[in-house]
Amino acid sequence: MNYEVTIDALANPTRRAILGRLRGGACSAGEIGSTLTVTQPAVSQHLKVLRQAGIVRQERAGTRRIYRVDPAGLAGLYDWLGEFWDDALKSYKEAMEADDRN
Amino acid sequence: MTETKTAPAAPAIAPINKAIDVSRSTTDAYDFFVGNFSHWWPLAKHSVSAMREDRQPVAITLEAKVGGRIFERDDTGTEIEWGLVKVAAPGDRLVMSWHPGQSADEATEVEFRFVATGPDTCRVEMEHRDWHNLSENGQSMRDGYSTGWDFVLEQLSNAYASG
Repeated sequence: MNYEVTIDALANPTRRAILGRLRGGACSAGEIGSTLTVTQPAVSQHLKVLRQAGIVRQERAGTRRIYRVDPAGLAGLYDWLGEFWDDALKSYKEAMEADDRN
Repeated sequence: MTETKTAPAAPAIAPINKAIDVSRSTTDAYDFFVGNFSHWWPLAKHSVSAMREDRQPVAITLEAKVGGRIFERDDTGTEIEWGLVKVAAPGDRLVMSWHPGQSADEATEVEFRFVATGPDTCRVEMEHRDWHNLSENGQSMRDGYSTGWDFVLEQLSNAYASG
């Protein structure tokens, strides 16, 4: 999983609002559109981004498609942030060691 | 005497803490950190433009004084601000607001502490905190949307606690 995709997906306020709505329970794209002032095509587009990032998954309930939060998609983000700082500190230390050798 | 407290609106999210031991005095480690920031920061991997397909990062600058900026420049010449320096105490600590890819009012905070472990060695400690600002001050709150960030942060907090 590429966590930059997750961060990108979360960087948008409308997508976070959609997540806020799904927090209350799984629902259809139509139900999301009716509670947020967002057009239906925009909701679909945002849901696509959230699904591609692994944050939301689509399920079938009879003939309806419903959307639900997939906590696994977010679980790795904290790890990614930890690795971000590991990388930065490692890079800092290596630059100092290279400097020591010169 | 009663103490005035502001009730936190969002759940408390644990800070991220990291540390490394280096073979420099606290003064030297601090000076290298700020003086060579543009050289050692892994810009190609960790920058806002590196996350975009249509941009390339070119440079990063840290102005190591109170009020100084940390900003990235991309290949179109656009500057992207990551934060502002809040504390710059040579040989001791550096504190910055931190919001790469977000607006300034959604800033978290990063602190680097330089703690002596010997005459010529020290530990560099990093703390990334104030995650609640994302949900309390973010665009989603101003727009009157429900608490998207609260939810995200809660998930992150759970992931952190179970990891």
